Amino acid sequence: MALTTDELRGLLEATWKSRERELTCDELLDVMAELAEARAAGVALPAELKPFVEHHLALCPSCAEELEALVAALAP
Amino acid sequence: MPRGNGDWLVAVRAQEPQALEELRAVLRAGLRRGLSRQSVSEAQLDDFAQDALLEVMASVDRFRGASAFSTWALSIALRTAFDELRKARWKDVSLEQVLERPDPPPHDDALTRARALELLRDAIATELTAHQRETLVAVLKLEEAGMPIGEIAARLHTNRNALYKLTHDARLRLKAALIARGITAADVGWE
Repeated sequence: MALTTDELRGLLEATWKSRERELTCDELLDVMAELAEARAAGVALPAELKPFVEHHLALCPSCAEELEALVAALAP
Repeated sequence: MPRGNGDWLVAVRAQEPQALEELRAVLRAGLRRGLSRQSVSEAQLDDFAQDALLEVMASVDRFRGASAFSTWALSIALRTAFDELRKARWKDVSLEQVLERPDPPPHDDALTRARALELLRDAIATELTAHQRETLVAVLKLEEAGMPIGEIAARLHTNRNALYKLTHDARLRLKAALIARGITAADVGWE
């Protein structure tokens, strides 16, 4: 089963942007409540967490969808 | 008066019936707001809240206290609910249907990018284990078709976290191989 050029292009981007340390989906879930409360309050994420979170959310539409739903649930 | 985090923790760990009923109501209300863009029935909300309550009780020791307990519990509830919704959405689609789709016509690539793509194709063949290669290719094709990672993991008889780790390890191997073959940020077009 061979990859198409478009699939290879997506993999090339994800590969090039890969980091030694990345958050997994479970690790993202561990901080998701904190992230949602910060977003709902318009507060910046802690600097040590921000790049890891943004990297995972860019790669994982499922986690991004869950975070968006949680932020929506917190809205007044 | 709303319960504080400490109060929730004690009550949930002790499985106090009144507290669990309050938590179920909190989760149901939060699920309704969080899933407002989804098509979800009242009966489904009941089921999701019940499943989430059990999941929260089982995971309570993972709560770190960095947020309100109710927000944390709702994060668990939403993952549980989305897992079910995604599973239902894809239940009539087989892996074969997705993996055997005809390939769309490729976009044109600049020469340097084309070289990087060719080296990546070679690295996939030579640098990954057979299991990494087969899984990574299947994940890429299924994600391209829009299948969520949790559903892909279930079809491949693993879980979402393990699947993320496997693809992460594979990406790191491929990146090292590309760098060893002289590929730079300028070649791929991303810093």
